[in-house]
Amino acid sequence: MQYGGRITDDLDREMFQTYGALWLQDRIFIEKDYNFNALSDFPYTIPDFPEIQKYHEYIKTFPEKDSPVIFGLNVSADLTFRLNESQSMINTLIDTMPKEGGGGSGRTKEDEVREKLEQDLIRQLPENFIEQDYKEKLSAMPTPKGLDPQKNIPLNIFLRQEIEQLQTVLNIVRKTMADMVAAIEGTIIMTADLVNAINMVFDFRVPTKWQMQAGAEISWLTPSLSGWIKGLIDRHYQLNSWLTKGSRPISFWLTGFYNPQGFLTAAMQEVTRQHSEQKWSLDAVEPKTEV
Amino acid sequence: MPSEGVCVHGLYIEGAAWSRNEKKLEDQTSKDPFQPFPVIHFTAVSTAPQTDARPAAGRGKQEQHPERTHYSCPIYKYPKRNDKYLITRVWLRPDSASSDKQKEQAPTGGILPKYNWKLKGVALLCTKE
Repeated sequence: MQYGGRITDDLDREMFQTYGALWLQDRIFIEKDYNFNALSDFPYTIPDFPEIQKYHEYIKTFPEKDSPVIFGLNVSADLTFRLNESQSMINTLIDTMPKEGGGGSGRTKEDEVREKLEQDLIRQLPENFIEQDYKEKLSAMPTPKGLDPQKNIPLNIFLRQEIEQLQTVLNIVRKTMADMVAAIEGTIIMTADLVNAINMVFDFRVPTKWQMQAGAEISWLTPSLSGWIKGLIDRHYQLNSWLTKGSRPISFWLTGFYNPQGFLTAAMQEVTRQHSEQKWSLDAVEPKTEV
Repeated sequence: MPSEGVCVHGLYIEGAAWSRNEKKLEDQTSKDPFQPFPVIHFTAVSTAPQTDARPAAGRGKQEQHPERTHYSCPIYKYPKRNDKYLITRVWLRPDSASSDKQKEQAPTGGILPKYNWKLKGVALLCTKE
């Protein structure tokens, strides 16, 4: 959200409509000393004074720090904001940490990264999905009740797309890891990308290439390397067990999907097809949720 | 396992708490800004006018459209919210009791229950970081 200019985002528009409906109404002119938010400790009112000095005095009494409550936010919104602030400061600090010239231990950064890769990270990587294998398993999957087995099953197509996407990421990760080791050993030429990746691994952060490709997100954004690797293993586990068991899990881990919108759309499409006898059409259904 | 639609888990709620017993939103009490959210069942209903005499699995007549009563809660991929990370929206039942209380406390500047959760920026998130 920004001040000035125009609102381009749908969600920002919604926010402003709410703000507008609440605080830009006739009442603020009619009622004397209209209080914008009675919940906050400090009364934010529109004062009515004859002299400008009084206005200045009133403004000076404003609290130094605006409580999130005045925007209707939860009290912990401020906490979240502070957490983000400190996190970004810590990241900046890590960036400024010297990466050249090892300390007294005599081990260089390259040695440490190589050991970490060989001993830990490469071993943790889940197995590849083999194209022929998963295609066979996919076609062998049972058809959900009420769907035409002759047609493609939306959620199975979705599963195939998710597997393909995760496999792409897995290929990139495996290759960068092997390249990093080879470049440290001197077998291949050290490129700028590899230097960057090595620095990231050294800082326990995720190499850029694993998350972004040509400006688009290809995997998931997790700040720490261990969290990202855990995400990789968990995602692989969900897709792989769905694939090998052949039946759907009772509940899906939505976070583990690359394309969660696609997942929900596919699910809606299936329900619509299950009601094809009642002439449901995809244009005329809406999502229904129950907690 | 439901016969139609899918269940999803692993979401967190930010800005409010969810009462599992009463199945509604309520004010957050814990210090942790993110609370685990229970399993959601996603399915679809037909919005086409029912020509069929027997009511299908669609929304019954007594069942009001949630637009009037519920908070349309967005689901985001990350805590950093923007339209790129918006996955979908779910209707959540607001806590009517707390909004009544607010109305009493604040006769003039009181926040209408309709706006309360929207102002609080209540959202479901896929991950905490």
